[in-house]
Amino acid sequence: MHKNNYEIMGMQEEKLRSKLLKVFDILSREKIFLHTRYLEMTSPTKFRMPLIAGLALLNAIVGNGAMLLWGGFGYGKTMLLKYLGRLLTGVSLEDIEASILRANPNLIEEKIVGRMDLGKLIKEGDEVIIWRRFVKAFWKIIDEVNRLNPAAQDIILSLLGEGIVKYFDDVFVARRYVLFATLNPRDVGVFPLGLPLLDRFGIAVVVKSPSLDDMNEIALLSDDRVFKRSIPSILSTEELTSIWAYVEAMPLESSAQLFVSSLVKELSLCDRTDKETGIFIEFGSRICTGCPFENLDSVCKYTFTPLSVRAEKDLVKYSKALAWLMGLKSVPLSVVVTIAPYVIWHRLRFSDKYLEEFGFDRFRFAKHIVDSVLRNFLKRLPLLQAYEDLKAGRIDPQVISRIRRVQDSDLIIKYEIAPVIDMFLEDKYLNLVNELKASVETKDRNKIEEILSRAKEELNATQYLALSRVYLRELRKHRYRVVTYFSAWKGNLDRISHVLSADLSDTLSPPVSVLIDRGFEEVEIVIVNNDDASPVIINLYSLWDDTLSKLKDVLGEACLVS
Amino acid sequence: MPESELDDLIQKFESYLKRLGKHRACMRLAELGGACDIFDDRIRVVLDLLSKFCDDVHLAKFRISFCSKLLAYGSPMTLEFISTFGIATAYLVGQAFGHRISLSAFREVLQKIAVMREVKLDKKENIVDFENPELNEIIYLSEIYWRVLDKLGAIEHPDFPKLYAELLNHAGNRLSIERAIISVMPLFHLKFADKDVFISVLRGFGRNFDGLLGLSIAATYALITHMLHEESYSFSINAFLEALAMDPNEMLDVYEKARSGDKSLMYIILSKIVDVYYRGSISRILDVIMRDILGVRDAMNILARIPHTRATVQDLKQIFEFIVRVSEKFSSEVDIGGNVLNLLMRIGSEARPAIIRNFLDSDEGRSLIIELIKRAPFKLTLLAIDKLVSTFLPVETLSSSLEVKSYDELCDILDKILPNWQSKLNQKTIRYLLAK
Repeated sequence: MHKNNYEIMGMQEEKLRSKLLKVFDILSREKIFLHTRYLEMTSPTKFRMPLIAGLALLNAIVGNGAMLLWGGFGYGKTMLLKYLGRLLTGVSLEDIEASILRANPNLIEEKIVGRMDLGKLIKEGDEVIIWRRFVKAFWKIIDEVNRLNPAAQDIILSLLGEGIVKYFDDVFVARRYVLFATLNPRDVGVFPLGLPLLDRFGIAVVVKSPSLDDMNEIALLSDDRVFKRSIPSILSTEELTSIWAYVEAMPLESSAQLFVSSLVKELSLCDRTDKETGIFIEFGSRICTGCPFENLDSVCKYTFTPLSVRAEKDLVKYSKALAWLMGLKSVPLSVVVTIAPYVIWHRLRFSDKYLEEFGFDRFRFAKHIVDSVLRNFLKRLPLLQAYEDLKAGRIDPQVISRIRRVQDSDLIIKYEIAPVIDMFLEDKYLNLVNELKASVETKDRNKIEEILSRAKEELNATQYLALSRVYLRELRKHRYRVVTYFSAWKGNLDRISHVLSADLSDTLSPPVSVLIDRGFEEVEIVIVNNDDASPVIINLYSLWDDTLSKLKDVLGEACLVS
Repeated sequence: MPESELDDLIQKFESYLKRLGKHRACMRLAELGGACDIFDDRIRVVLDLLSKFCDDVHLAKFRISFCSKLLAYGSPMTLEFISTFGIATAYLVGQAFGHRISLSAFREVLQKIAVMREVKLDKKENIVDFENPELNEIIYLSEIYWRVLDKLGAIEHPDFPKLYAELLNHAGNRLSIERAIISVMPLFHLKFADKDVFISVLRGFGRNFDGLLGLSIAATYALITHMLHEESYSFSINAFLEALAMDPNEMLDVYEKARSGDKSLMYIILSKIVDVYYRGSISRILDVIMRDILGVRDAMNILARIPHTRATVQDLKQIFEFIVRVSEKFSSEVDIGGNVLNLLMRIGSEARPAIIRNFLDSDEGRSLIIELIKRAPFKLTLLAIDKLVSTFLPVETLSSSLEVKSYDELCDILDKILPNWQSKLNQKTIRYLLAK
């Protein structure tokens, strides 16, 4: 049992990755979805995957992912999703087909969500809901989502937002699912999707007509509506969801993290008004006329709506998925930059004035925006790093004057950095940060705890947050990754709770991601399944190894530390 | 030079002013000052006195005589640099640029100053390893050099980037690979520098491929060191990449490669520099390529990027010699066919037709082409040659001097590369290749 499970822990991750990569081979071998556009990466390692199928696969491994496939009819979007469902979950094609929600303007709540069990109601007077297969299915497909009327769209909004579906007094909680929606902009009888609903789709891709060579190949294929194909099953639902844990536990490199927040901020800040109020949607580019930032490299003028925090989280999620699929140990900047256009293009309201230059191609424009943000980011990176140094107590007068000078040409510096730098030059902050650094150097746990608690009392909120993040940055440099399996976790939960001084009973009902802030160290636990052999991933950020030793003592051979 | 007279004049300049009058005293000071050695300690004092007590005409006289001396010595040093940073710094910089001193002598001078100034250095083992002991040694020397300049207070000085860039702009075309590495290294340790500083330097190196290679090595080393050891991305490196007009994705590629310590970054930088700034002859590049300093893939890449508008027949011969030499040996690791196709297309569209004609017309040119087909029997190579020959070979050459053989061992090779080549290749090419 132990040997078997140990083997699972050690090799499962690699096996799962190679199984996923095999999916691409099968799609290519079986000539399913012949669209030979690729997503290619050259750094940090060379990697290539088919664009549409690859992004759909990322959507399947991020955990409750939702993806929008945007394109004309007859390009094979729904067929790809059905076959992918079969390959990645082992569910039969018939079952997948049965749970597809085929949208039309007359679709009412009963047909989407469920119906009352009339037999029970009449015989026993019980209001029992029989949920529709779409609601219960793990692999959810909504065909032609823009044909759903606004009321039906609200149901999807609630499902994607809170993971719940309500009907009468009953609530169905969809704890684990993978959702895809197709959208045909050329269809008749369609309803525009509101920005909040679009924002709930983590990733979106434009499906275009296949290339000339692909068309030649497609012409020779038999009609799969008549001749059914035999598609193998590569993964089970449990295996697929195990991957969610590995993906969720991927750490983000600091430059990647900085880029994500810079992207969101650059698109959200405005020197004249507040984009959150929607005022731009009303007055458009008139607001930008005469603004000094309009003629700079700033990207604020391109969008009328800000980017949501959900978009930021989705960007991180899908970047983690790609980095994991590439076999990387952490998420580098290049992966985030590659994924970013697919995460943002459908969520934003662009300025027509600039969109026109790109032939109103919103994806191409979003790519241009990401490139511009990247250029600005790399230009700003030394300043951001200098700012981090400043917060860590390393003062350089030249850098400070540079920050003050640059603020007239950089919105992030102007609104996020310049206004607060003086706070980090105050003696009380500097003394505490220097004490903290000295204590980190000597690994004096008591002293660190004492400084952090003093800081809470003596510093203002901004200073205290900055100081605690300085410490967190130090902690993040010392990461231990412990992987165990669920049965070992469950069997030793009391002892583990004791070691971590935390109530971990919630972790028995996965999927859960728990962050335990122990003041001097941080523990992140990710559990997706409650099968005995499912992985439990513990990321321990600590300057000391005693917690790690205790965890190893408790879990014995049933854990793998890296 | 009447040293004592100058000393006397400096010490009692105010009384000389009263005694001789402003014009005569100032003229004398300008004359004697202008006759000083270029690294004479008293130059700064002379300049101070002239600025304080004399007119522009006297200052100009001094500048003219001093600058003509600098010119005569072949020194890249400027009066502004000397007067701003002092003799010691100017002397060191002059030596680094290779003025009247060998590299080994410079090493000794530098190490002495480093000890005197208590410059602390990383251990040699801690320095990013370029897997070439000589190169590592030069990089180590460059590390000492910029740290000494830092100790002398130069690097932090606000005028240093501009004035140092001016020196490099003048001296750039004369620097060897080694001297370039040493002399540009301080630029990558500037706290702040804008892209104009680097543009000025890169333009100064515009005709010196060796220097650009050295500059690329120094930039790569600095980038990797910053990213790996200090986890920081310096302002000056940013300015350097901006000067290379890199698009955001190229910058990202550089960033990721530096982060992972990938030294192939050097060739990305070099190719970009060559693309944007190199205005020298192809033969300089070929010299470096022939010395096997660059890898085959990188050499091919650079050859395909350089402008061939001013290529000579000799250049074309050297390019073909290089391709012939590497074709057989490296065909497994480099896509020779594709690279040759790209290169010949570029030559065909850029080089002067007369030059290509003369090359094709020469016996050496023809035998190189045949040799290339034999060594690199790829369809793309053959098609590229077919295009070049059929477009540029003069018709009269074919009709007058070339008599076609009925059979040649080349035919066997052509059969393998391109079945039915007799109908696929241009008749001009066939006659050219199979001529007696």
